Amino acid sequence: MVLLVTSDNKNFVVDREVADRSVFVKNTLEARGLSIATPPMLNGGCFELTSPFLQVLEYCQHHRGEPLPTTDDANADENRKRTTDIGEWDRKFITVDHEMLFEIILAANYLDIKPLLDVGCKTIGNMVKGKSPEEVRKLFDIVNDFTPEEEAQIKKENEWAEDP
Amino acid sequence: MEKPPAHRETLPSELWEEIILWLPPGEIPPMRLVNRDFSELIDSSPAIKYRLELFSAGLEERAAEVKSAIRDRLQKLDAYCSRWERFNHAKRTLLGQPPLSNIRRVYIDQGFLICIGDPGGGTEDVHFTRLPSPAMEISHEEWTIRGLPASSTRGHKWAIHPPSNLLATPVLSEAESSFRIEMFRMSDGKRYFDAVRPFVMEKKYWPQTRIVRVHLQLTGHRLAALVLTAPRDLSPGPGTGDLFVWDWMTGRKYLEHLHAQTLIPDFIDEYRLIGTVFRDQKIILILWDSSSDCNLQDPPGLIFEPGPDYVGIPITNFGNCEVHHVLPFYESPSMGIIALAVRRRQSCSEVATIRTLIVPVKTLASFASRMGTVECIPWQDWQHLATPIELRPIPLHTRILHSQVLCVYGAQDPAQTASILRVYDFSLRSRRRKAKGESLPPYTTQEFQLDIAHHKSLFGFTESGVVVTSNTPDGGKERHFWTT
Repeated sequence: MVLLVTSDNKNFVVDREVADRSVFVKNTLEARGLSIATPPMLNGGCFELTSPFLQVLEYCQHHRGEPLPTTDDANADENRKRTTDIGEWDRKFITVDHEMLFEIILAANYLDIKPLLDVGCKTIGNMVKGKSPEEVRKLFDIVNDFTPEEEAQIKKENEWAEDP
Repeated sequence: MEKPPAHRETLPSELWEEIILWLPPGEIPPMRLVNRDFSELIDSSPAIKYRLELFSAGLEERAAEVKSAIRDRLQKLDAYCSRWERFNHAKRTLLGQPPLSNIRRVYIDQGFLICIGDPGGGTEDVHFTRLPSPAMEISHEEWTIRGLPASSTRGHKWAIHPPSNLLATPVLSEAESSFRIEMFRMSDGKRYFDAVRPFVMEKKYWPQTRIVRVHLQLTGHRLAALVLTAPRDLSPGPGTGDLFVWDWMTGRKYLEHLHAQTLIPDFIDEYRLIGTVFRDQKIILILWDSSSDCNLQDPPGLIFEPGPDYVGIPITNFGNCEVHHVLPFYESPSMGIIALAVRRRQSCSEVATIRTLIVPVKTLASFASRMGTVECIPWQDWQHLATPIELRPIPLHTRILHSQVLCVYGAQDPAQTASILRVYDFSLRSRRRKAKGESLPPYTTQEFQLDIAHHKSLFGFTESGVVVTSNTPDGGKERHFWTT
C-alpha cells in the first residue's frame, strides 16, 4: 500500500498497483529504492491535486494491472493509430463538465498517466471536431482577440492553404 | 494591452497542442482563427506542422512508413532552438509594461532582455533592456530598433555583440532557399555602414533546399552563420548543417572552400550543435552531442584548426553528459573555451552532474591533454532542507562575466512554496590559487534560499545578482532581484 498526500493534506491509501499507473509516482517510489515487493506504508510525498485526484484514482483503479504504455517513441507512434474512439467505460468516466475535464487533463499530465491524458485530449478533440472557430470560442469561453484585419488575413491564408 | 482572461488559460499550450493533434488535419488551419494564442500555437508547433505537412503531401496514411525522420528532425531542431523559447512562458511575467505591442518572442542574450514585437506590415521591432550589470559599459538602459525586415527572421537566432554595438540578422528569401545577412547598430537601428560596404554576406541554395534555421554568432571581427536545411520534398533523409564565416569588416570569407560542401553530414539526424567559438581569426570550435543516445562513442566536439583545409580535430568525450552550453569566451579572452555539460536527472535522487571543460587559450593546440575539470553536484547536497519535500530542479543557467563563470542551479518544491538557488562560481581566481599549490575546490559556491511562494521561474542573472519572477496569490506578477 502507498500513502499519497494531496497538497491540501488529504491522505489516500491505495494499492501499489494502482499508484503505479502514474509514471510520476512509480518513478518517485522506485527512486527511493522501494521495489514492488517491499510492503507496507510509503509516504508518497506531496501532490498538487485536490478534487480531480479522486477522479484520477477512480481511473487508475479501473485500469489497474494493464500494461503501461511503452515509453519508446517509435512504438508509441505505431500504437497511436489516429483513432479518436474512446472505450465505453472511459467515455462514461470522462463525461464531466469542462472545468473538471481540464483539471483531469492537467492532473494526468502532471502525474504522467499517458492513457488518461489521451482520453482527455481526445474528448476535447471530439468536442472541437466539426465546429467553426466561432463555435469553439463559444464552447470554451474564449475571447476573440483578433482585430478584423488580422482575422481577414488569416482567413486569406487559410483559403490559400485549402487550395490543392 | 492587458488581455481579457480567456478560458484557455486553464490549460497550458503544450496540452492544447496535444488536443489539436487529435483533430483531423483539415480542421487544424481554421482553428488559427479562434484567437491569438491558438494562431501562435498552430504556427509555431513543430508537431502540428509535421502533421499538416504530411497531410498536404498526401503521406498521412503512410505516416508510420515515412519513418519518423522528419518529425525527429523537427523535434531536434526545436530542442536545439528552444533554449531561449522557454522564456515565452514567462513573457507576461517579465515585462510589467510591455515595451512593444504584440510581442512575439522574449529571450535573454548576453545580458540583454530582448523582445521581438510584430507591429504588422511585415516588419519587426526589437526592444533591448539591459539587465543590471556593472560590467557592461553601455550607458543607455533600453532602446528599440524598429522596422527590421520580418517574416524571414522568425525562428532564427539573432546575433548581438554589445561591445561593438552591433546586431546581425539573417534575411531569408521568400522561397526560403537563400539568405543574406543584415547588420544594424543596436543603439539606433541604423544599417551598419551599408553604403560604404561593397560586399554582401549571402548564400544561395538550390531551390529544392529549404532553410530551416539560421543561427548567427557575432564576435569582434567575424560573423558565423550555421545554416540548417531540409529537403523540400519531405523525403526522409538528412538535412545539412553548413557553417559560413565572414569577416564583417572586409567581407572576406573564411572557410570559403567549405561553402558548397556540407561541413557536418547527417548533422540534423545525429547531432545538435551547441555552440561555436572563434579565436584569432583562425580557430573554430564546434561542440555538439547526440540528443538521442546518451552513451556517446563519438567525440561530441570538433576543433577546426587553421590551415589550408581546416581539418577537424575531435575533442573530448563528455561521457554520459548532455552538453548543455558552450560559453562564448570573448567576454573572457584569458579563459579560453568553457563548456558545461549536464547529466540529466535520472531519478529524484540526483539532480545533475555538471562538468566543465576549460581550455586555456594559449594551450589550445595541445588542449586535449590539458582539459578536464569535472565536478559533481549530487542531490544529497540539497537534503538539509527542513521539510522532506519533493524538489523539482530549476533549469540550469550559465553565464560568463570577465574572469567568472557563473552557473546558477536550483530546485523548488512542487507546491512552489520554497526554492533554493545555488550560484556556482567557476572563477579564474580560484584556479590560480590552486595552481600555486593551495588546495582549493575549483569553484566556489554561493547559496540562496528563496522562501518565496509561487516561484515562477529563474529569469536571469548577472554579476551582481539573480532575477527571479514569481506569481503572487492574487494573480499578479512580481520580480525579485537578489544581490550576490
